[in-house]
Amino acid sequence: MKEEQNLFKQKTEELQKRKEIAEAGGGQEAAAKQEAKGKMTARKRILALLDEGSFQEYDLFVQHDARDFDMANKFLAGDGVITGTGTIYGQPVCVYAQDFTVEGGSLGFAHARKITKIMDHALKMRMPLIGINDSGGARIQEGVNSLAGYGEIFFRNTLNSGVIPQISVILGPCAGGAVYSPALTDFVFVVENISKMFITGPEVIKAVLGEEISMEDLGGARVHAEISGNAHFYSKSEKECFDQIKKLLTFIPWNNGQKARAFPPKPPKPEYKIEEIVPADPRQHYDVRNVIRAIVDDSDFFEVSELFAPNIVIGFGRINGETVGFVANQPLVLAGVLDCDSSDKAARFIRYCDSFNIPIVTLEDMPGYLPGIDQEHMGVIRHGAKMLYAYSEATVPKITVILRKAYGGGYIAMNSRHLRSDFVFAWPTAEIAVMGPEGAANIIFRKEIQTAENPEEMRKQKIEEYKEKFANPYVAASKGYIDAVIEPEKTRAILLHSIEVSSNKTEGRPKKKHCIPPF
Amino acid sequence: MEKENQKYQTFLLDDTNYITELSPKYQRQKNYELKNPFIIKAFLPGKIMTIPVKEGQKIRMGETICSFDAMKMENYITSQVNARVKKIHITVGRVVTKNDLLFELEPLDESEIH
Repeated sequence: MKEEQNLFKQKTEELQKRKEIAEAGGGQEAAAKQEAKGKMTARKRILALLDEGSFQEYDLFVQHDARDFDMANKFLAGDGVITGTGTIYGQPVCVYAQDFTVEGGSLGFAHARKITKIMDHALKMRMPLIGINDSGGARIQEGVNSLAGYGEIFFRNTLNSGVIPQISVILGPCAGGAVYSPALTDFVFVVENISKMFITGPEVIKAVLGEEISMEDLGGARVHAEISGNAHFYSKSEKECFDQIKKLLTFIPWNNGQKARAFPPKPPKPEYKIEEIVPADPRQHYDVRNVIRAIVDDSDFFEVSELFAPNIVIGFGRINGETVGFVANQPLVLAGVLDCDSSDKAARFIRYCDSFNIPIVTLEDMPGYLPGIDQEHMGVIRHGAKMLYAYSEATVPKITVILRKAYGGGYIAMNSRHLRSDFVFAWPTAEIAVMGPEGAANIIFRKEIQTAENPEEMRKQKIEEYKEKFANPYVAASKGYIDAVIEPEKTRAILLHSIEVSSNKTEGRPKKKHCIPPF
Repeated sequence: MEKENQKYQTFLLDDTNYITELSPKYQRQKNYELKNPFIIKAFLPGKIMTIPVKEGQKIRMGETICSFDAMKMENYITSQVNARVKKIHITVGRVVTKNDLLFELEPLDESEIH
């Protein structure tokens, strides 16, 4: 009996020894190098992200079976990736983290198979998937097997899309084909000086095009958060990044069959007063995020893609404890115009909310589309159409509040009644018209102005005339395009009511295999 | 306070002046350059291989005026117009970067057209 106990102990000790070796990743020296760059090691990242003590690792002992280029003699701990399950705020998640200390986190076939296994698990168990990317790219020694691995990941990213939340965290290089996994996921997180994403790097660009650029300026965190729009959340440190991920998870449901978790309702903070935020003159700016803060619980607005296309604001907040997605024109930047980037940004967010049962509140105050050769050549027709498409297609509760300007094509695009908004409200300051009074008067009364004795005087008079007649919410209200003209301070109460009465909304769409949006 | 005011600019749209910020991306926009078929610039960086024309030579629309090696391929530049070569800014073997000026052309006289 004693002998048996000894044997048991011996075997357990062997397990612990094996675990220790594998868990050390690329070893102390490599870990120190990683930390010297301001980066945590893969294992520390997972532990920092998950609830304490909740991480269960799988496939720790997986090994590659590559034989070419001396690979047969190479031991790669966990094949360069850590996978497992754990909880965040008590809710289960699947997670993987590439380990840069093991062969540069390069992706071989076994590495990819570990990732796809945890992805399949996430889909089957209907829980979020968080991928931490820190990899030099394909493991060249494994050749086409490595490419096959990427393909298997991309395919699963696509299958999982719209069923479970997929979050990509870029904490190191993510270059070449590897970038397409994050690009296929819902939210991409980047950290200053740490994240690097590009299809072709600075060296290749220099060799082919003779253009010189630093890695940071080509594909650094700020570039993707501000210019390309590939990243949705930007932070200064890994810790801040993990806090952002955890906060995001409080606003979204665990899968597309659920609603986001409800929190105890809280009133907005008293310092945000709508009537003090918005100037009545439609030409004056204000920060629409403060209007949102005046509406949502505890004035807690969690913005998505803050730096990209700042002329439109998107993000999550709660009304009476329930998650709501906000889409709002931002008069603070470019007067809140719609353009290629802002349409693209809003359209994607609308589709996200629709996929995950999150009601959409649209706050409208925009003068129209941005004119310009750049815009036309970049395809503002196609990009602008994305927003019309996303709103028309969405069947979650959709509520619009027109704060001030709602001019022209933008009026239609911003979740108008005509695209099947469930409720459209307008403040008394709303101006719903084909264009602003100045432009409209100059066209309609061109002759009168030209032939007048004092054209400037006549122009002013005609602008006033137009303002009086059309620059208000009452023409649209008289046709039933607006359901109610409301006092601005009652906005939260009316949104709360609208969401409550929409809780059993059922709206169908014609049966189809899938839609063909203007990608 | 002054700095605060500098942030905001007037932005004209449909004859209305809006007071607003301009986004960094918007400010980085480059002005559109009108295309001029008489000014020939490199559309890719590369190495000049041949220049089969001389200054003062009459050339026809579609005629090759230069070949160069770029992106591991041999590329040809052809004239979009009937013209005369006014000035050649390159020599064989030179490496050019994108948008380098290669040729200046000039329109033909009325009498030369037929």
